[in-house]
Amino acid sequence: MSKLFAIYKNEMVHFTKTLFFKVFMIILGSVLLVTFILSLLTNAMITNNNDKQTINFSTSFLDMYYSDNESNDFGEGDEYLNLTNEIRKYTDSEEARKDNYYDVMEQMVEDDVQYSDSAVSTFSVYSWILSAFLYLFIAITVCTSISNELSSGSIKCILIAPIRRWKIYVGKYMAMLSMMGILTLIYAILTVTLTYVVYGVDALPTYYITPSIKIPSYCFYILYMIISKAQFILYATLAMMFSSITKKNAVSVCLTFLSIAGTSTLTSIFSIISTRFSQIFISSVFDPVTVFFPNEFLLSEGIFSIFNRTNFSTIIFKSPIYAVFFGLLLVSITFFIGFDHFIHSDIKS
Amino acid sequence: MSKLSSNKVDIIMTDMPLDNPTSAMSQPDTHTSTPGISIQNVTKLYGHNVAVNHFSLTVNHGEIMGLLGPNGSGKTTLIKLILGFLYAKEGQITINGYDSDKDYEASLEKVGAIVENPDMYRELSGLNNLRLYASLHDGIDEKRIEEVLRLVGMTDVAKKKVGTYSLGMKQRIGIAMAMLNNPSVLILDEPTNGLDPQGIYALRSILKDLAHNHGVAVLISSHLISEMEQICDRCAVIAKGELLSVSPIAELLSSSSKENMDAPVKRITVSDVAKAKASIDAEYGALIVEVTSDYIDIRLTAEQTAKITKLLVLNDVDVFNIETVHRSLESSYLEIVGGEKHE
Repeated sequence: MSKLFAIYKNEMVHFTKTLFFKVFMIILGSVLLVTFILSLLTNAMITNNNDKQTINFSTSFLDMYYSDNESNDFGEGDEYLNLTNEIRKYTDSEEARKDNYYDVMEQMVEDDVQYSDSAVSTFSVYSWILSAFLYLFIAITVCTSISNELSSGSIKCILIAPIRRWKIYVGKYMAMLSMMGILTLIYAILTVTLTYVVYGVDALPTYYITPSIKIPSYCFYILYMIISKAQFILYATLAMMFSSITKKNAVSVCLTFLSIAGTSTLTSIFSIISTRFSQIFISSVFDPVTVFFPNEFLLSEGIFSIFNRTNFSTIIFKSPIYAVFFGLLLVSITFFIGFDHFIHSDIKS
Repeated sequence: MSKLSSNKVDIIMTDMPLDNPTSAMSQPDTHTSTPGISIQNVTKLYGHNVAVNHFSLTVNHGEIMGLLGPNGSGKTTLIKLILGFLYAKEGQITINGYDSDKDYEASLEKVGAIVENPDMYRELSGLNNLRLYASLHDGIDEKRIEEVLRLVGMTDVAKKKVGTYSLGMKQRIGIAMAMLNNPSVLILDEPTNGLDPQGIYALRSILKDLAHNHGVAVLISSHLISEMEQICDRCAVIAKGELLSVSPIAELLSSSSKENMDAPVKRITVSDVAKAKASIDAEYGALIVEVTSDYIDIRLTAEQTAKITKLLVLNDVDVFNIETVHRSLESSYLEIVGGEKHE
């Protein structure tokens, strides 16, 4: 195990010495500074918290929507109703979750939940920037983690040592995931803190799991930032796999990003077999926020998004258990392809 | 760059403590009963091409085995097979008695190696590269790292990044890496590549000391035949993946096969070759091997040499020198490999 840890540690130390890490730190600093200044300017222009949003709607409106009464007047009512019935038939747990939406909304109205629209949208920009960083991290670091060593020959340094190859692969893989995790955590803490500093402590709303169980906004948005990047574990595993099966960095990067782009195609392919299967399993993996924070859309997309059929149906069918199971399955398969190739192939560099 | 490869660095290697290059190797792991490296009937295929064909070789502790062969003969492939970079189709390799397949980590525990070019992490310093390598072994401390750095004369530049090193400097770090874990088996692929004359001389001394005084088994491949001639105890000639011969270096250097040892080729340098040839032709014409404008090569016993000297002097030919002609390793090698006399 000490040798596995040595590989892990080396990989971490090695990463901090790469150009990417330095560039990452510089860009991160600049982005935060610029958005901080811009936010201050914007905030200064908004007087008396004009952008404060309140959760206010008529619960009777929802009552009408959820009722089994077929004679409602809301546009494509029959269609919605059929969907609702379908959901009800699906499982009891889905039924319970639907009820939870209703209860949560009621509670939010009762608590007079308020939040700043600017703060929430700034936060979504931060989240987007992190995604961009993680894509870059995968392209520059993970995609080349093994192929670069194979082509430069530096892997010989490790291979001549008495260490089994599986330890090299696992050590590197763990280091990549940890590094992504650490970067994400630092970034999440920094950006949420920054949002608090700029927009005030009540700018971000509290998250309601159920009407009684709540996550304080600070914790929730850090969690949100991390969970929303969960699919990058699969992307990084894919990148490691391609890195191990090809010696050329460019080929590895291209194959990885083609595969990432192809994940939506994967959903389409599976939807030929079964739409529901595709929704439950595949899209859950690539859209972890809606799986783990089903009530989040109540805030970010506006309360009336519940009436958007697509959104509603994709949310309602997703289950964290299936998402975790199927996500782990995909990660495991990808991991073992790369792992097996690295262990059993000749290293000719 | 020029600053880095200054004379200072190069000279340090000549100041190496050659009398005790393995100060931390006070208890050498000699394994006198088991061979350092034992290769048995190993075959390696690249697709349908045979890279190594039923190859068997044993390198004992305390000897330096040279591996000679033309380009693409399978030298590096063989070294990579020993170190587990490549998987053999069949055959068995043991290092210090450990099967390199089943007891992979144990077999490599006491092995130091250089494979092809000295590639290491360019972003890290020489020192950090050594630290990384040390972390993959048990019981190597900072003191040992300093020792090997001093041994290869790289102490002053150890903190500079490997990317800024010259080939020779990288090779020195590579040698330091190979020595770091007090190996009982050293496998060196072209270790003198890029080294300056002082470095080559020092390496030769270190290797001889390690093998002969500390019982280390050394397998060394090089394209420099003169190097092999000076360093090896035995030499294995490999071509097209097959072992052509394994013989002690002295045997390869001797003039010919054993039955002719009594009558070696003598080179007689004289003032007038034509006159000399005419005077000895009648009696010894059949023994002449080669005649040039300066000398005559002739196969003679000790008695015949005495007689022929008298004969030449009587015929008024000035004899400047008579010496036994030793074949070079190069000619032996070319003879064994067969006709590939590119030079």
